[in-house]
Amino acid sequence: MKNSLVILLFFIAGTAAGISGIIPEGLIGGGASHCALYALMFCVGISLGNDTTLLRDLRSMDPRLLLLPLMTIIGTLAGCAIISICLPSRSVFDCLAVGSGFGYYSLSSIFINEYKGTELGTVALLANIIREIITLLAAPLMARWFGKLAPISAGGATSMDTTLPIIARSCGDDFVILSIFHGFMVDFSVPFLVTLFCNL
Amino acid sequence: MLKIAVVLLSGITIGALLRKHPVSILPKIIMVLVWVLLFSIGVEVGSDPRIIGHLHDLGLEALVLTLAGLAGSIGTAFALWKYANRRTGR
Repeated sequence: MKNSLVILLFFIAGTAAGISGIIPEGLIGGGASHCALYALMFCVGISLGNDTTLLRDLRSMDPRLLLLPLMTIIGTLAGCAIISICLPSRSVFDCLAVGSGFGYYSLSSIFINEYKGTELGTVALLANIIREIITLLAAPLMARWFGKLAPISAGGATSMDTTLPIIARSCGDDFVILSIFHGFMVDFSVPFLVTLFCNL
Repeated sequence: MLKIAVVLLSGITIGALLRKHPVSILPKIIMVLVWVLLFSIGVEVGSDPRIIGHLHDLGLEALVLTLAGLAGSIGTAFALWKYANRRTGR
């Protein structure tokens, strides 16, 4: 929990720095965060390669767990469809389009901006950032209360990059391979599902 | 997407080559990188007037949708977890 609070503090500090405008224009919008993301992926890769038990774990993994990406997609879309009743200003397909970002905020908000306008695009951006932040903060609790698949599912498309370290910490290294597989599969579904729901 | 996969795969290759010399400082480096990443996401959010100006109304809508999606996916993940554990008898 202490780690999550530190992470949240960094996010708040970043937001404050962004509002105050003390960060030079050139550093905003991808450059720095992309470098950090690549460095993160590289380090995660090294720790994966370093681990001699991983290949054995992949072979011994329960094949039913490979259904997890499908479960994530079905569960997220069902939740968004049901809650759309409480959001009269949005159609059920608007809600499904926002939900099909699965935490992949950059891509989904770009698509939704284009098809549905800035307003829903901003909702998509915020919703998917919130999904990532909640997963980063609450992954240990999700693993304890709802089983070790819950943080991976909550991470959605980010379970292979930004939320992978916290998933590894909360679920153990046994679930890293499943988490990456899950992230890849959900990631690939994002452009297809988002454009589908925007056109319905 | 492709770049991420390439970076990850090259990390795995290097990690596999270093198996005889485990990199024990790695978890700390990963933690610091997560901090940097969250800080820069914060900067992107804070410096975008489109988001900050609409935080109050659009933010609530986004939060409701996120919580609903999370509840649904955690529910299905929990069901799969129960199913897999029951069948394997773990």
